Amino acid sequence: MKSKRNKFHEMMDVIKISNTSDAFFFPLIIARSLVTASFPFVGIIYGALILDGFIDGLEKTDIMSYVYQMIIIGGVLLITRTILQFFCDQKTNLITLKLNSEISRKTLELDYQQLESQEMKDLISGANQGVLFSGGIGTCINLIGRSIENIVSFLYSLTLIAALFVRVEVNNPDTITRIFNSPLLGVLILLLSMFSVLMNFRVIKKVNNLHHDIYEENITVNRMFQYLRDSSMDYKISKDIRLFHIDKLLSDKIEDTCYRFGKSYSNLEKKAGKMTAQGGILHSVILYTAYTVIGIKAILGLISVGNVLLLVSVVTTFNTAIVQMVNNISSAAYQTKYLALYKKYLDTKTALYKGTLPVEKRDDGDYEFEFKDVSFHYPNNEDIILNHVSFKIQTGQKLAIVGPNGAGKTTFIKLLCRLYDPVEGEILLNGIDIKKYDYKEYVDLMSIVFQDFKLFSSTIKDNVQGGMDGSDHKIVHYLDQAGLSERLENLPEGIHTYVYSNFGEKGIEISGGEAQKIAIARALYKDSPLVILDEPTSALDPISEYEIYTKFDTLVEQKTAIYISHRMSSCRFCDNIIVFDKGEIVQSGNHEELLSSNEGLYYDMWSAQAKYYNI
Amino acid sequence: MKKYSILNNALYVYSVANQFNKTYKYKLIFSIILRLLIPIFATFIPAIVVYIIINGYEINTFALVVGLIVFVFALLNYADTYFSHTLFFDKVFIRLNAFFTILSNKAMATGYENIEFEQGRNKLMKAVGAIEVNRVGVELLLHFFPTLIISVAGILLYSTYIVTINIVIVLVLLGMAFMNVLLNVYARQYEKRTAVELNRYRTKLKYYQDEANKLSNAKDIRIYKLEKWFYKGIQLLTKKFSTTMMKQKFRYSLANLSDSLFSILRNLLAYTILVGMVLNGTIDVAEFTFMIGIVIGFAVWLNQLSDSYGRVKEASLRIDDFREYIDMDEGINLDEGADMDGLLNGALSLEFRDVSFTYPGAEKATISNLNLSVEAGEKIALVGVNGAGKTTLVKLLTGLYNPTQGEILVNGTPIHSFNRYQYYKLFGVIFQDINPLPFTIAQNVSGKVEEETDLDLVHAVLDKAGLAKKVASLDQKEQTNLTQVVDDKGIELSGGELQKLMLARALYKDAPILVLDEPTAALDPLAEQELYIKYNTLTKDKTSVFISHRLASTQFCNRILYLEDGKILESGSHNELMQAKGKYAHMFDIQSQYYKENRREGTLDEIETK
Repeated sequence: MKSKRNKFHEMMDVIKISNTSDAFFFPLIIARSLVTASFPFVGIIYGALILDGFIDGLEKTDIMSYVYQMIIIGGVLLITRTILQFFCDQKTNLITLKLNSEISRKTLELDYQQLESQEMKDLISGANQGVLFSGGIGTCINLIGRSIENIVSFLYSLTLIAALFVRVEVNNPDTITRIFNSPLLGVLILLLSMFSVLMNFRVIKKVNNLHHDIYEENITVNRMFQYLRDSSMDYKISKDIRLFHIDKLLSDKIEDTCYRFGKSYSNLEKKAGKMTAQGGILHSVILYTAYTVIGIKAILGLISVGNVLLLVSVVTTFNTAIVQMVNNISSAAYQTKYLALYKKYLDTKTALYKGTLPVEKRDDGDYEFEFKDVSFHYPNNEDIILNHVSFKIQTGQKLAIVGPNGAGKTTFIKLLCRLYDPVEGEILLNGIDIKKYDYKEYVDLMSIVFQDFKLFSSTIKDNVQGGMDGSDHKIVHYLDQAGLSERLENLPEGIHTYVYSNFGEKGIEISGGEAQKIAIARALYKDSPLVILDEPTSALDPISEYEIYTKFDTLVEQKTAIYISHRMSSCRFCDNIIVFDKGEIVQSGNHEELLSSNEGLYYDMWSAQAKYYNI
Repeated sequence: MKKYSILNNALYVYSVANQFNKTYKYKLIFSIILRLLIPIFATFIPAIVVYIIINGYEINTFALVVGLIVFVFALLNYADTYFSHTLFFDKVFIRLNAFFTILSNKAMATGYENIEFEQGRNKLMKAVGAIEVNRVGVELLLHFFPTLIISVAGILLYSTYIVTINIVIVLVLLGMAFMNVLLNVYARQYEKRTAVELNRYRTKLKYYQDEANKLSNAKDIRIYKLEKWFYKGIQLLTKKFSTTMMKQKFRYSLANLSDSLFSILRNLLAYTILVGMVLNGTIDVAEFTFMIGIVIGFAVWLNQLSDSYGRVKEASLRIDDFREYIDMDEGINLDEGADMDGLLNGALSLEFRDVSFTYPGAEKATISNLNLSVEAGEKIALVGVNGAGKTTLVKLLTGLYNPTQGEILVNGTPIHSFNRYQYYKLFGVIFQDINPLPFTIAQNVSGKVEEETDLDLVHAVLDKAGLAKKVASLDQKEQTNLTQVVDDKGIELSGGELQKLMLARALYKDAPILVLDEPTAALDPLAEQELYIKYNTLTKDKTSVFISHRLASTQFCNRILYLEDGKILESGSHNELMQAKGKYAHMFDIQSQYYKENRREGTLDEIETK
């Protein structure tokens, strides 16, 4: 019982979501349901009147007046339905579209740390799949609308079916007439109808469960299939496919996945088909009972011939109305099960503690960051990435971070810009824990070019500007600083040129180096007091690299700057160097100091590279 | 683009379906007959009931006759429900097992240019559109083509019957059909005209939605407040999309509206005529019931016809896309080709003869009139600024691209005379971009299914590539899955580790020509040095090409080629090129200046002014 109540709540939630998104959608759906449900009864009622008119030998004008009434009422309903249908369809599309976007909107709102967790990945894919499997909220509302339609036809049928319970006064009835005149027969038909509804309900439930079980059973297979589908046709992987002959491996896996799908679903196919078909048999039994009972009533003269057709139609409509109502409601409930995943994601709260302290705006850029005994491991993974790190970043300092792969350099940066919070210890800005600051204002303090920076399919301007304000002039200026002016001059659309465009706009393809330059321009454009470059030059040729480094030095001026690089030469620019190894700071100092001892990790790394250049 | 007729596409789809599922056609024919019979039966039952009652038959006869008819009706319904259920799943499997396999095999076998270049890629994406989900392309056709046939048959059957009653009714019904087709054609044409626009909005919106959800974008979005850009884009596109969609759907509702008006006219006419016929005794009440049922039933067929025709047409366009990609010229030699025996063992010589290459749509050639010969066993370093054409050169050499002009020879044989798939065997390549497969480490290294993977060799190459220790530390060793795309317990390797994995893969292949495109970019200095030290052993008895921006690497190579604007500007050993004081020397000076022990002030300026 509790679960039914939950389902009801879930369904109400869906309606609520729909109302918030578009207040007219649900009322329109209800109006359509009323009209649609009424329409067939016009034909049923007048059809019987006309038929009886013939048998009772009415005048032509009387019969034709029934015909005209039927056509006018029916016509009005039909046209109204067509118009309502158009608006309902339109709104269904719109609302589905809008609500799909809500998933993206939510993702944009959440903390990075949350997004990286497996739990959240599952929630997002659950939300997306939820929309995909249910066909979205619009479809669900439509289903609820159909259930309302069924309820209305149910009510119509119930009113008309009352004729079955009327006992007709007959003089000297024989036994058969007495039996068929009894209201108990009406009760019998209704009971039968109820029974068939119950059976149907069971069938639907069983079939739905079968589907759901198979779906659950195949989640991994599904993921594998999606991967194979995408990768076998992905141009990036297709190099490997050809040169390493992976085609056989992939096609074997495709065959295997399809086989596994096929095996589990072919079972379902036969079972579900039989069950559903068997559910239909009861419907025929009712049809037969209704015809025989009501037909015999007519033969015995208890009701008119017109009423035979009317009552049989009403009984079958009554029956299908309930069956479909149960069907639609349970489908809607089944879909809300998926939509609940959607709602669950949308209801996720951000997790990071967000302080309210404003960050002091300082013209002198005097912001001092300090790591105080900071330890960190990723959620769901106990391996310590940073181990009791303490370090103070002096204002205006140029700091290089070096160390082997996996030493914790990038994690250090992620903590500094609060993509994660430390597991232990604290990070201070001007002596105050960074958690206490307003998060957005805090993030405003830093510009970062990540190792895996991303540009988007839009204009160069949009990519540099991001969500920040400023003039076109400033954008051109920083693109120039980043060394992109030459390319920019050759573009007739200038900064309004699209990059990576797949949408029909005339876009340009840019190389990895150029992309990096745009990313650097974006970082400069943000003009924040702390600038961080995480392996900014790995894709650049030596000359561009040189340009970036020499320019950057002047560009960042008094700002605090942090460089992470595998090219040890970059350390020479820096006032201070910290060397990470296995999550700890093992050395720090400037280049000369670190080299003076002729030993240690820094020395090793430096000489590993330098020896090839000193010949 | 080649356009096939609906019938041609339907035949194509059904013949493929038939190859995969031999019983499908029988089920289908059976189902078509059932779906045609059921509505006729349903109209027949009330008429017969009325007939028996008004003709005063016995109760027993009545119960028996009705029982018999309803029994048959029940049987038909049972079979229909069962078949439509099984046919639904058959359709899914035909799409997945037959069509998807055809397309993925084509995509994996065809020339690389057909998949990397935009034109081919777009065509492929369109072809995917035919098999992506249930409600498009192949499955849409499989679903609606039978409906089309049934509704045409139904319309013919019903009109033939109605003609015997009154020809005017048929004319109105045909008028209804005609207007319906006309308006639907109009709507479809409008839809077609606006389809490109709508599709652009759709893909663009999808792009915004998907990118916003990607973890890999999340850092930049948060740092640069890109969420605003996303919000704005999503809002704008939703509006544009739904407005265009509304305009399209409005045209379609005109057809519905016309149907409604015609059905009013039809009812008026049919009832007036039939009522008259009853009253003057031409037909009895039972016949009246049946005829009205048939006249109204005609509209059901008509709806089905216009709906299914539209869907089949839509599906057919997608199937055109699908067939276009399947029929696309492979662009490479897939015949038996020249003899490869003897090439797989021992080093090979290479030659570029006047090779040019221009990307499709590009104005300038990326490689222009390039001549180059490499001796067997030579170790070549390829350097140059970004965009000089280094990676393109590698793609030409490895047979991924075909030269637009000139030819490439391996041991004196032009490469287009080899079977391309055999030719690929000559190369072990490490590319700049790394795409680990979400399978086991062992499978990533071997590129083969488990049974065909030589585990000893896998261990050996992992060791050589410097990844053995990492793999040994994993619970499942080399059977650990990479990435969490499929397996939640899969692991993510760091950039440096992935590069080592790619090296291991190239070593596993043990091909006579080794190509490394920036293999050290993500490696830390110590790992980089390790690779340099090993380089000579790794390339023993092989011809090798090394591309790197870290010029230190050039020193283990016999010869350095300096590439600029698709031409080789300088060629020679490190010392020769340094003495020549050309572009290479300039580049080397710039990179090495900071590593020099006694860096004089002013060195920078000297280099600058050069």
